[in-house]
Amino acid sequence: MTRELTIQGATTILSPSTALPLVNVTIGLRSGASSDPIGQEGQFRYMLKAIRRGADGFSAEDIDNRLDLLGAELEVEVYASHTLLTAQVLSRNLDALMDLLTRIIARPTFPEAELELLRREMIAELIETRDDDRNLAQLAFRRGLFGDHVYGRRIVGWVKSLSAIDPIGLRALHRQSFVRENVILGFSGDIDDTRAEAAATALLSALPSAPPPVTDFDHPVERAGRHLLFVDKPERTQHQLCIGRLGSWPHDPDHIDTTVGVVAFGGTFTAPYMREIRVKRGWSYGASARLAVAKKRHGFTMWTAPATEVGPDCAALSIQLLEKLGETGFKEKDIAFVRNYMARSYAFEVDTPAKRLSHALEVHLLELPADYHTGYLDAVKGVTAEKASAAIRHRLSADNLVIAAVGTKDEHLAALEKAIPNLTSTVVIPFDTDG
Amino acid sequence: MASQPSTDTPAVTRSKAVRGAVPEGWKHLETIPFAGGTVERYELTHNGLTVLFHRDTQAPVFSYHTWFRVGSRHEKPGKTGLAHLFEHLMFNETENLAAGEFDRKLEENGAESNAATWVDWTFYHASLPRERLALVAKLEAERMSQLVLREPQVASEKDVVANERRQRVDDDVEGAASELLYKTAFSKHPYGWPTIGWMEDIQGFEPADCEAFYRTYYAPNNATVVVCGDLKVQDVLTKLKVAYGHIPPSEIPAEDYQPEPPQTEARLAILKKPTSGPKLLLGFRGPSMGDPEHAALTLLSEVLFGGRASRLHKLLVTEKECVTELRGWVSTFRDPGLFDMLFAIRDGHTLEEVHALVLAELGRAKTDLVTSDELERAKARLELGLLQTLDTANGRAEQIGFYETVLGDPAAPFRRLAAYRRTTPGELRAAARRYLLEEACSVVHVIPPDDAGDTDEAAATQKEPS
Repeated sequence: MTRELTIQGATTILSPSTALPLVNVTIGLRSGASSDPIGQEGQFRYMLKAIRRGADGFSAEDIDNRLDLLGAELEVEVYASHTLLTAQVLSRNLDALMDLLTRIIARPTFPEAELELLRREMIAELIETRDDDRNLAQLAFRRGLFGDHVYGRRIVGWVKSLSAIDPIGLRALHRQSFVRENVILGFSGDIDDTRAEAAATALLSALPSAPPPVTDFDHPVERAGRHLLFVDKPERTQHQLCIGRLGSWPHDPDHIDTTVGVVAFGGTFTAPYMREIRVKRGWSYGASARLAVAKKRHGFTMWTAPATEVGPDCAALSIQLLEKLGETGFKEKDIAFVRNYMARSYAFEVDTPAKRLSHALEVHLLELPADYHTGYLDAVKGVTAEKASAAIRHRLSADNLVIAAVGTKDEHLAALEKAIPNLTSTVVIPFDTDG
Repeated sequence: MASQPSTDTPAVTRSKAVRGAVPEGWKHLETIPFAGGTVERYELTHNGLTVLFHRDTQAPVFSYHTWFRVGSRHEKPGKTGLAHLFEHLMFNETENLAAGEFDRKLEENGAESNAATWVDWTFYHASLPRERLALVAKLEAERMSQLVLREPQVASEKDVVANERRQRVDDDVEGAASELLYKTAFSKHPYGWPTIGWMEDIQGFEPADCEAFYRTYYAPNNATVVVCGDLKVQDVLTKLKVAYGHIPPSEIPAEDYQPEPPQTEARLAILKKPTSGPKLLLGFRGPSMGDPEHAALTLLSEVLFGGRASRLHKLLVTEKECVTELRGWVSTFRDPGLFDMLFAIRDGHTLEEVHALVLAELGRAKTDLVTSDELERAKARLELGLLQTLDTANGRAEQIGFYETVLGDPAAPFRRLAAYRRTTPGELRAAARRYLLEEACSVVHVIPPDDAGDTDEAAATQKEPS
């Protein structure tokens, strides 16, 4: 399982396993894109990508070559509240990887030409994402649900905002972010305590000690009414539909009740949402519901993708199903079924050292209740139909909804608007909009 | 716990030694070293069912895969997509289970399950806590032999698949372009039609088509069951015999398809779609997965496309800044496939410009040797990639099932790793010379409507294959 140590004042989590000759190294930061200035969305991610474009005697090309030669990968995930840099390496090359990682995070050089090259690459990648309809729907959904809150701001930025970022700001952001007090380290896989402690000590010693950046933010505020965000794209034969609202927060007393209720509604192949949309009517390849877990209250989302000719009916039925769930709740046998599913399939949440490490890191980075994962099974087993029904009624009323759809405005918008009862507002967003 | 996979000394020696007593009705065929442990091959003598067992005690779970040697290559024109539609239908009603009950039983027991179909195979997988083996064996055996195919389920599932096609192909630029590339490259061989099927074919299926397909291909002697996890082999064999012992074998018909004739002229197809920018797809005729040169071409693909340090990434993304995204893949098919490539072109650059740069770089691979540093990087990347697939019981079962079904050798990933290690720069150059032939290349241009100008008629134009 996992063990926690304090090294150089920073929490270090170990999740060892000798099953494969691979090691994962995760450097977590307790800060993320919430610090992006208005008009400079994408800044934090830009900084994280920039640090591997030159460091302590290594050019960008040297770093890329070195990573490949070591049999290593380095990935960056930036969230509003936190950040993960994850490296995976053949275990025989761990020491060399740690040396390279230390240079990258502690002594990046931010070469001007590389920063401009990276900026142009990021802008080109942003434009490329317009090909992905599901991504377009999710982007519109977040915009509708969170508005100006940090969860509504785009972590990858916009063409305009990336163009506005001053490289000098990246250096300052790096200095503030990579301090020992802002870092949490994790090692999983083929690494023992001695090796992990030595690696952690060397890496953390290279970072300064300083107060961490202040990055807290409030919960998002619920919007009243039902709001449609329609992404207009030519020649669509299918809608990508995201329907939802603010969800549950891990510190809510009924959070696990809500989670079980959402899984019972749309979290499995045989759940009612999937059954009604896919199995009975053949309207979509899939239909699912999920509850996001984040540092602050995040979203509850229903997703489906019907052909445009049945899109309005599918949207209407999705809303009706949520309404009906609030009215009638669950039967005990349905919740018993989901309890069994969640308890028994939990084995697959913890079947690799990397997943176990991820759970332990989440508790720190998302500031989850300390027993969120360790007490998860018992909490799930304690959920009854009454509790799950009450939680869904309380947290997921269908009165306030955001509906995001990708379609072709002239052909599909009017029918979709007509199908959504009590629609408060409609916003049409061109698929190639920039902000 | 099994010892750690030693990729330094690939395990390549097969043994026919029998390990322990083999339960009645089973024949132990061989012991194959795999990932620091073994794969044990058994056959149920009554009906020819092959079982491959790999013990993996990393977690108290197991993964159960059933691989059928049937895919879209076994379809006929006008009936494309049948193998994939059938995969969907396998989750429906059986003689003893009402519609939906199959999934319900699996989920209630904590299963993660799904299925996939491609050109050469179809497989079904479920991962469960270790004490649930008897349940999944019973369910899988039941649908292998007692599936019920009725009109309402077939009709509803056709609609589901049509929507899957819209999502993956019709409203997805890269999906549509890839489909057109294979259609353009293969004029005879079934690899030319999409596994999901043409829309008109999907909509035309009747229950009788599905019934005939089922009776022909879904039989124990056309399947391999892979069990991987924290289980004991005696228990596995005992439970599988109870589940499958009564199922008779089938007469599996000999394959009846047209091999693809050699390509002697370049082919061009144009696709007009709403897209963020033009895309260039190239498909060079490639080797089959069992071809000894497949490993060399895979390494060359890594040198050209593998990560930011690769040749084409450096040239097109970093130096010329004319491409946003690029990918290359040597198809892992039983018969010769493609070395296919995709380039997403940046604003201000043209298809022709990128095409010329790519051909020049591919030309360099035919004249100059790759450096030893480039080759070592490619080998390390592929070693990492293999190990990443082995981190769960499900990942291991998939590797075993895939290589068994395509190459008849569950340990082939380790043999390939050994082959990568032996491969020299000269062999990469030879592979480039053999396969990167402009006259054996199919090309797809994806053009946004605004750029298409007078090429309206090109919305789906394709020059006839020579």
